Amino acid sequence: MRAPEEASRLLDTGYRPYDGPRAGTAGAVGSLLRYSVRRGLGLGRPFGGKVPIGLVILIAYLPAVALVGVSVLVGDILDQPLMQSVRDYYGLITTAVIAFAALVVPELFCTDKRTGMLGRYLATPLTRWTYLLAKAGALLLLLALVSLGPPLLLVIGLAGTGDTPPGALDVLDVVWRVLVATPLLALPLGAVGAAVSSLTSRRIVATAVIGVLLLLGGAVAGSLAATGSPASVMLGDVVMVAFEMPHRLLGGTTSELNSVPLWQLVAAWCAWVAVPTAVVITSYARTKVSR
Amino acid sequence: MSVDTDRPLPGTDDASAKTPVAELVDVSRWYGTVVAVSGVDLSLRPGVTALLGPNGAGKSTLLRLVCGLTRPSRGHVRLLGVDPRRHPEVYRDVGIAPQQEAMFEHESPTRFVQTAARLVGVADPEGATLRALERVGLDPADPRPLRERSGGERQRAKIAQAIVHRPRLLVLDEPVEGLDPRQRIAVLDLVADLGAEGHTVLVSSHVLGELDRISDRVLVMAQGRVVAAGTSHGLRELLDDRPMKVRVGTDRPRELAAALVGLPGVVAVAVDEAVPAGARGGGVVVDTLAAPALRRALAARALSACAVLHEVRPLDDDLDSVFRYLVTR
Amino acid sequence: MTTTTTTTGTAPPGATPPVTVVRTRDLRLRIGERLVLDGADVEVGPGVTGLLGPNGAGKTTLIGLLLGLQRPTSGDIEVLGLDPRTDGPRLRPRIGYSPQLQVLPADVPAVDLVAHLAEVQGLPRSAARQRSSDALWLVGLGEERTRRVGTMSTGQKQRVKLACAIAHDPQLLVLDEPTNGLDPVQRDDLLVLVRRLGTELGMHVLLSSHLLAEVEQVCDSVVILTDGRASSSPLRGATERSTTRLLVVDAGSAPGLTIALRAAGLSVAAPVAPTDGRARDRHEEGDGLARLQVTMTETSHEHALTRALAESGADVHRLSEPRHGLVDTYLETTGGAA
Repeated sequence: MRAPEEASRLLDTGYRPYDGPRAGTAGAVGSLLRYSVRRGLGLGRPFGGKVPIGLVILIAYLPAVALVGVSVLVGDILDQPLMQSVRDYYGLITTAVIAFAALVVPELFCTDKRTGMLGRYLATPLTRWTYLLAKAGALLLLLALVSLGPPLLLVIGLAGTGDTPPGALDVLDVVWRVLVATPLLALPLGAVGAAVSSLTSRRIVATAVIGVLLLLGGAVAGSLAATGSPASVMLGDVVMVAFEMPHRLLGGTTSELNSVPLWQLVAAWCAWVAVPTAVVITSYARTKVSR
Repeated sequence: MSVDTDRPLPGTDDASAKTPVAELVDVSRWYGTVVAVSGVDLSLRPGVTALLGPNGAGKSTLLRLVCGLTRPSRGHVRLLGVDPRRHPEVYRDVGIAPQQEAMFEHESPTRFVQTAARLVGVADPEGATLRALERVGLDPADPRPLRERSGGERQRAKIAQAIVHRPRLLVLDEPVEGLDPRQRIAVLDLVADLGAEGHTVLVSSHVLGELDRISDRVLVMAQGRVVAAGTSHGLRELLDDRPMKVRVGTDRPRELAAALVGLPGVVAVAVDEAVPAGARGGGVVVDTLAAPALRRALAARALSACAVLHEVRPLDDDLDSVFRYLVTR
Repeated sequence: MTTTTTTTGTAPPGATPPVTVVRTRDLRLRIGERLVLDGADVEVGPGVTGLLGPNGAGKTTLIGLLLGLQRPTSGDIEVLGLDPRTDGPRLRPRIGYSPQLQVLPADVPAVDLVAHLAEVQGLPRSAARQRSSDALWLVGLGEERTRRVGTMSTGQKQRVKLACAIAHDPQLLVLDEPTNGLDPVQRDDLLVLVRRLGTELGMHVLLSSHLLAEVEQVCDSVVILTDGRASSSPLRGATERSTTRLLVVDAGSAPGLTIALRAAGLSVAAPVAPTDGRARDRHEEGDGLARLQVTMTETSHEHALTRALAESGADVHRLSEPRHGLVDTYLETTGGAA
């Protein structure tokens, strides 16, 4: 006995409407954030884009990996408290963080202007401000990759190895300071990078300008200090202001900015975040989304 | 736009009308291994010639070859009877309005056109500039630079620059791109007038209906070759045996369909009955390979079916259909 | 004009009754010194609507206002029942926008680009991927969909833009000069697809273009902007029956036919040329055809016309009612403008 046949049906007219759920602004911000992080890292771009970024990330992590490795093999090579090791580490990765910022931040802001994507994004639930919010989030996550990751790796690595591992409370003490230090470090650098990127649509120009600004600031401030100006002149170097934050949080007393009172440091930090942010906001508010 | 009343162009008298203004003989042009233009023979005379072709067919390369801006890889190009590479002074009689936008952004149209006039050695650059700007409908007294002007004004400035020296050969690549409907009509009418005055105009555009209206001759390119040349109606006639569709509005569609389906060349007849029956709006669409036979027999067949003809409308008898047929074979 | 069949904009069965897709009242927008929109009352209904107007009349600005990208100086706007000023994020996913800009990210494969935008518009990732692929197939780029956009031709890029606009299944498609840079065959293919999207596939379409022929081919009605104001006209549907017909026959039969027609009581004359100063249609000269304008005053005249054509053995090239073309409507409406 044959089984009854199913009735024949025409299944597809070539276009299917979509009746499923649609995320709103929150979903849009999340989508753009994830996508921007991927693009910032060079994923989704042809191979050439990945190489410099990969190198920089490697440079940022390498000392940590090396130190942990040595600690595993040899024991306590660093005869100093954990906090100091971590504090010193920031000094090691300064150049890597600057290079990373110069390479990655322009991709977040310039490319969309150059490729017409900004206009397309604004025809979605995103507005200029939610767009910038997503980009800021991506910016912080990306910077955290090189400014949070390596120190954290070092902490965990050193905490678990060596002949005299630090106690759990000591480790946690260092960890929370590193966590708090990360946005304090990332925000000024990211803001300056974003401000430069928002003024041009050419990635390479932005990378060069950011690199010069960040590196030059130090040179200028350094030479001014050497000729006898007060230490507070160094507040004009954003790199120094940014890196001073983890330095102080981790109990440091030996940086060039050491003599500057805390309130001045905080004020300079706020200025270094607020002013570039204002530049970004003004630039995007005035951008005519052309056809 | 007033018609220019200056002296007639040289070459509009009988003697020099024998020599084509531009001539390409078995011309090919390749770039490395890519052949852009392959074995083209053409000659251009006064009047408007439209150059049509799909993207990538080699139109831009052909235009550059005609202007003498590129030399052929094979074959030879003659402008006004001479090889432009040996006689570069012939370029003074060529005017070009290319598609690309690169112009002197910081200059006003007036200065831009004047500079062009001076470069070519026009006798009275200021006067010629004024006339050229008036013809394209730009205000000579407006000092604003080109970068502050709209697309339409920039386009017209380009054309003014190309005609300021009253060249015998005028090459216009997409001259109405970006212009609004009224501006398009104005510029194309200008092109038609220039052709009527004796300039030899070669125009390329993707909007065939507009070009058809003003051209004396049509050149169709595909895959680097010129696949058809002639007048628009001439080409349509030559291709009368291509499949064509004609809509016939009638009060008795089904009866007319029955009467037509037996006609030689008819491939299919689609019936479109109006509701309610007998009301207007019904008809048939006839698919045929022998359009002339259909045209001749239509009224008689309608009469024999006791049907009245309300409408006879070829659905693909325009230049667009001819073009599609030529380039997609 | 070529291979499209003209259909009126009927909604698919079971659809909701017609809504007003876009409505503006007394819309004004001032940019600097200039009043770009000056009391524009725009009504866009269902189906495919054209948006025309001289450069600088405010078409792009209007589109920006409809999308909520700009705020008007005064006046009301309603799109798909929402106010773009207050409901922008809710409204924009319901709109598919293809801007005029030809620039696209060069190093991204087409399918990734379309999927990413669909995701930002609110579709879950898997649905976005799937619909991106579907959309690219629909626009004819199925086989090329994994190629980087930078390697694509102008025609292909235009279709990528269209795919971006439809992947998230919008209710309203806003297309700004979608056929720019396309050759005639590519243009026609895209327009056929747009017509299909606007009729069978249930989207409303607003098509902004400078090519009157293309608007005539695809749209059910047009909105013409002039000097910051708007006027609408339908393009299809029943027009007043006219008593005149334009008849095109072979030149050889014309004299005999004329005599026969007049004998039957119809009046025959040469057709009236356009009066707007446009250059004559060159291709009509010397093509061996005669053009006649025939006026019928009695119901029996139509039959008489058919009979006269049959008996004179004329080749009937065309028989049509003179239509007030879009060109005439446009030129009249924008008459005073520069």
